[in-house]
Amino acid sequence: MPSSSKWTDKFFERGGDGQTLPFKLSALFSSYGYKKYRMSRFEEYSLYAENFDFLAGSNVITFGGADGKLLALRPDVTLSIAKNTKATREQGEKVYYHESVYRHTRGNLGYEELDQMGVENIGAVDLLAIAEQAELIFKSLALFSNEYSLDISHSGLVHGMVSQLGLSAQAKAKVYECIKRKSVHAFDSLAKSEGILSENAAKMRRMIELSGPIDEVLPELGALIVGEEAAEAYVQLMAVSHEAARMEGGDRLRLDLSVFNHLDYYNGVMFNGYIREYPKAVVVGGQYDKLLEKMGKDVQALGFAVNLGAAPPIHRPLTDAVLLYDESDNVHEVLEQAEKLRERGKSVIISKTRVPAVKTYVFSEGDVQEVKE
Amino acid sequence: MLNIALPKGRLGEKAYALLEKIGYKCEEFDSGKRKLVFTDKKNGVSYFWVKPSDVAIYVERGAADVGVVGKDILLEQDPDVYELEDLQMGVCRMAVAAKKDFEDDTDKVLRVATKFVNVARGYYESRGRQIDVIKLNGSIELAPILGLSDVIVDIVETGNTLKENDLEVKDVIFPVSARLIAGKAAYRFKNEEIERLLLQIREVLHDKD
Repeated sequence: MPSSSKWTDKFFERGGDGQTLPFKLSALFSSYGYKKYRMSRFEEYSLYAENFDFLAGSNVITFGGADGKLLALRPDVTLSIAKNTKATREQGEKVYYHESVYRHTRGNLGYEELDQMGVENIGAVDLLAIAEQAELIFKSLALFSNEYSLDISHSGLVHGMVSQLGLSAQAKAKVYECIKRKSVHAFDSLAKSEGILSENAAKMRRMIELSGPIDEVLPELGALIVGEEAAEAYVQLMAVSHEAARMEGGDRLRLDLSVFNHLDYYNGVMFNGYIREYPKAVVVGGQYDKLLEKMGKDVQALGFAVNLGAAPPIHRPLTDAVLLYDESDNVHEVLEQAEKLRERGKSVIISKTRVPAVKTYVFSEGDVQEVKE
Repeated sequence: MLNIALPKGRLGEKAYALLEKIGYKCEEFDSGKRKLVFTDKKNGVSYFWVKPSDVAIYVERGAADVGVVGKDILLEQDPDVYELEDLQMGVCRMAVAAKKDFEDDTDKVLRVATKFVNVARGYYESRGRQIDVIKLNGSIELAPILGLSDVIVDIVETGNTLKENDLEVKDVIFPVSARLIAGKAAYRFKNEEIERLLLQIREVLHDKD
């Protein structure tokens, strides 16, 4: 059975201001010049098989097409957009989407349909593009909750610092796992078993621990940087921090290296956005030029996805009135009385039994009478 | 208020003793009774007493901010949480065990009885060994004795249960101990509280070393 998000059905109801969250996000993305992108629910499985790591281990749901081709229910939107984009560095594309993605649940016990929106900016990525995307994420998160934070990291910082440790590919993978899990104890054991120089180990250890408002964390991070790649990433983070400081919500920008996407695909800033009311990241994104490069396209790309399942439940108002009837009542007259209530602006449900409603009426001899509790 | 999920049983009691020592005492805490939630407003802490294998789920899904869970369960479930510290308690090993006279016939598919299906699969996949996983929920040691499986993958503490059943450890897969885990959103929105807790735990562990 599909296990769609528990809030999805409520989520599409109109809120107090008469607009749904997807509507507000669409309007927000459009106001930044993003065009709506529509796509098929299915893709050839080969697209995902070739880029499996990009999906962060999500199992793809497949089925056979009529022509014998193996098809997949789309587990991700970015791959499809990247495959089809005609963007060049000179002529970029800005698109947004609102689609369902399908994945096996963990342990392969079932599958889930996730309601997702997101934006992709494909073409050339400079500081302005990154700053604008940060601004867009702040505004998106603010639509979910008053209490939000945006965490940023940089693939060059993580990759550069880990490369300096001079480890085997297998040991590097273990260090990445320590960074993702914020496990300094595991890194200490690894540093010991791999014989990492104590000075380098101490720096890496502190980087794993660092987490906090970017303007507070950056100065300390600066003292830990080793190597050109990490230094370049640090300069870019400084510039983003500087721009974010002037934005609405910019004080919510945090730096944390555990914000981590696959380094074979991501090659710049990486974002995770959180709200207090939801336990996992609501926004995930970053710069992913390497994905386009793998597809033979000489363009840069920046994007993020928003998990609509994280939207808080909207209060579902009670139906204004329930009109009780029984089989002996005249159908036409019952319908007529219900319509009269609707003409007074009330929502009405006709029922033989009592159901939750603001007021309960009973049909009796061609008229209705309110039933007092 | 910090919400902490503790595993029912000995490990949970040890973890609570540590937390009590560093100031997270809960006056009404009593592991022997049926009550499942204990709150101490004065110390800003609320404890949930849950099944050991459910701790990570409570934390991952935000019902608890932090929790104490065995590394065995973390590796089996792979929850999306931070693993902040090794609490150096509940120490044991995840091991492959079999009858003392067992000899692995690599020409045959190996029958493995275990509660830890993902751990067993991962271990044997890394060795290129084809296995038939038999998922059991308890009394795993019985499987090779009755010929249900060739080996078992399970946690071994003292090894006494194995000895009593004429079994022995054939391979250690990884060492196990209890870990302090934190939810990702909780880590951000209760960062000061979680970092304070972590710092105090580290001071106790450091003194122990």
